[in-house]
Amino acid sequence: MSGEFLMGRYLSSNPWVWVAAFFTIAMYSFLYKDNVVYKVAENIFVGVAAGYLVVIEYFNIVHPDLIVPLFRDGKLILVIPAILMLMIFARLHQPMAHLSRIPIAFIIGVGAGLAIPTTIKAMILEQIRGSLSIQYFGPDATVWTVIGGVILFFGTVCTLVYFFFSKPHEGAFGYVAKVGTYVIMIGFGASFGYTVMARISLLIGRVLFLMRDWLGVIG
Amino acid sequence: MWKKSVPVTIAFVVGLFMAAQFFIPHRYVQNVVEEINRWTALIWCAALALGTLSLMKHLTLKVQAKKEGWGYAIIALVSLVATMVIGFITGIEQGTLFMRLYEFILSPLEATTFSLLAFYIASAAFRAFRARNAEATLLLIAAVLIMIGRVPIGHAISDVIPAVSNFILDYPNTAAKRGIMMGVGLGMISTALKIILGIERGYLGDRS
Amino acid sequence: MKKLVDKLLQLDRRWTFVIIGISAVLPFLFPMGLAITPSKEVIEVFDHVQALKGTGKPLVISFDFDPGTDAEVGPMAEALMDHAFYNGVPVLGLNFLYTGTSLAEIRIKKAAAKHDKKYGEDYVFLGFKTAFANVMINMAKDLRLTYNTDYYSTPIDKLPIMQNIKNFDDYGFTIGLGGTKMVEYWIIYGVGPYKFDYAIGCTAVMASDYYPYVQTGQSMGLIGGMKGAAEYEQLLMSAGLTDSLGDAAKGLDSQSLCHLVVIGFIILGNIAYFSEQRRKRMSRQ
Repeated sequence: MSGEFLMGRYLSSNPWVWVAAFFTIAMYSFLYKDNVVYKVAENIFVGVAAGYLVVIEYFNIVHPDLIVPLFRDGKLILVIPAILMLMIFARLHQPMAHLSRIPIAFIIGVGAGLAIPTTIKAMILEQIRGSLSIQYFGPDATVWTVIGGVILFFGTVCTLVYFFFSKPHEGAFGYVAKVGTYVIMIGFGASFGYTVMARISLLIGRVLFLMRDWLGVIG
Repeated sequence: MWKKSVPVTIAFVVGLFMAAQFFIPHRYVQNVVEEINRWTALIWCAALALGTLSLMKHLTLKVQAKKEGWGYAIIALVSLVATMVIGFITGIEQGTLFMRLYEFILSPLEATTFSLLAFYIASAAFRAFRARNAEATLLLIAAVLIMIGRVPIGHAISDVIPAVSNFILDYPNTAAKRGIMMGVGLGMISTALKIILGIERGYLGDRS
Repeated sequence: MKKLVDKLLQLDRRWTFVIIGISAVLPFLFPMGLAITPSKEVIEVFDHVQALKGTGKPLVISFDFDPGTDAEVGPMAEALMDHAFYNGVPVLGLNFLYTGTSLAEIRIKKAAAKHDKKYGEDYVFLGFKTAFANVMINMAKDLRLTYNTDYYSTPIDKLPIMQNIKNFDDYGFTIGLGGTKMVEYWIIYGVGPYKFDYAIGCTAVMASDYYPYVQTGQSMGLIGGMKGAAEYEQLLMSAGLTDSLGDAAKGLDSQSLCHLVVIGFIILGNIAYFSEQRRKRMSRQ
């Protein structure tokens, strides 16, 4: 078969696809053993990723939210965040590194403040409400939903008891904590099963690219 | 003294304000909140860019000192600078050279790096996942049921398998994850409180 | 038997790599054609998106995934946009994960081109922002407090689709797609304080962690991993909105075989391990 017949009909004729395929195979070469090609690809990855971040941030945030409002629209209050942003970079110069603490304290403080009421609602109160839900025992209940509802309530309580380390896990408390351990193990088993699924999916994605987009052996 | 007390005070004031603003709908308060939100987004931007600058500094020092692997550091540095220059010159729209760098270099590299995990998890399944005790056995049984039940082959073997895996996910898994979630939530709240009250100062680089 | 057990325990791990690699490739060459049965969590998301038809309200998608998770979450995004565009529902795209900003743009443009949709009238991409929680608070009052312009620096008031969109009250349905905690932060910082209709589309790694949110209704359904995306594609085909399945469904045969192989590895590894343990116990006696 001639190269012309292969290219386009099976093999991709887009040179960029070949570049992508090269880097894909370069990374996979690590499975055999560590090598120069893999290391070069890895370092290109690091460099391009870091450079990409700066460009995207500039065009999506710095330019529309700082430069344009400050210099074109005259919104002078933005001088303050501009100064705070510059203070962050002081971290790179040891004698002035303490200046970076101020903007960092600002954003950490904001995050901490926002987290308290929102977390209480979403991760505590709503979850308590969910555990006490009577939907499993209502008119549409079946044997399995009733059993499931009981498991849900007592399983949650036992899990919380397990994580209470201020009291030794002895006696009745210890039995409840043990049940909590088993419930947690089932939960972790579910996570593990799903994790295997996730990792395999990522591999399938690359296989699809190599076999379809590059080699053209599948439709 | 002021190098620590000023940031801690800022964290206290800002943290308290942002927690309280959810309960104060007054216009003046909300106007301040809107401005703080804008500033936070910009400062976060700089914090992320700091990472890139730190990397550049680290790579440059490595090349200057000719430490082991300095040749690879040159490659990383050149890639970094080239990407930034190309991005600022060509822009970020589709069809530009910058977008091609993303689509055909960064994207496959990142996707392939993560897909390597599939091989390692298969290897770990063979070499490390042992049913050493009752808890581990329970974990493995649940994992196997989920693995079979959540793919079409589970349905093909028997309708009971996906039904069992759904039951596991809806009830014991939800119970476990809920308990963990509530624990994590309480941890987040206590850490946030410690930051606001100045007890937790790790973000200052303070090791005490 | 002893030799076999020893060989198994000392097997070079590269052989397991080869076996899993072949298991991933073979079903593409010899498809098994296994049927896909949608789960109730995915059906719930489908029904909410379907309910947007004729309302004029947009489907808001937060594209918080990057190339590392694109294989799982990308097909979900594609299926959701197909669903919206087939029904004439506008799509509003956001992004809070910088490594996925360009990927989000590529995905939106690809879906829009497939359906001949016009930018500004049928869909908009607002681009990347940091400080997610802060953006949520501003968006609750007015989107424009955070987004003056879209990804292409066009003032958003010049985009026809944005005329009737101010805050969460104007969103038809919001879906957070991602492989990070961002999908959970939508609930903590968005749904919690401001109550709007929202669902999670996430990688399989995180899917089991979010069942509590589905149970409480904080997430109205859940699309988990490539399987979830395949179920959504199946629902689209069953509803007559598409005539073929997408990438997620194509990969499921491969997924099934690989899962069986991994289970086989676990069983084989444990047989070898317990045989070895038994042999050691007997030799001590």
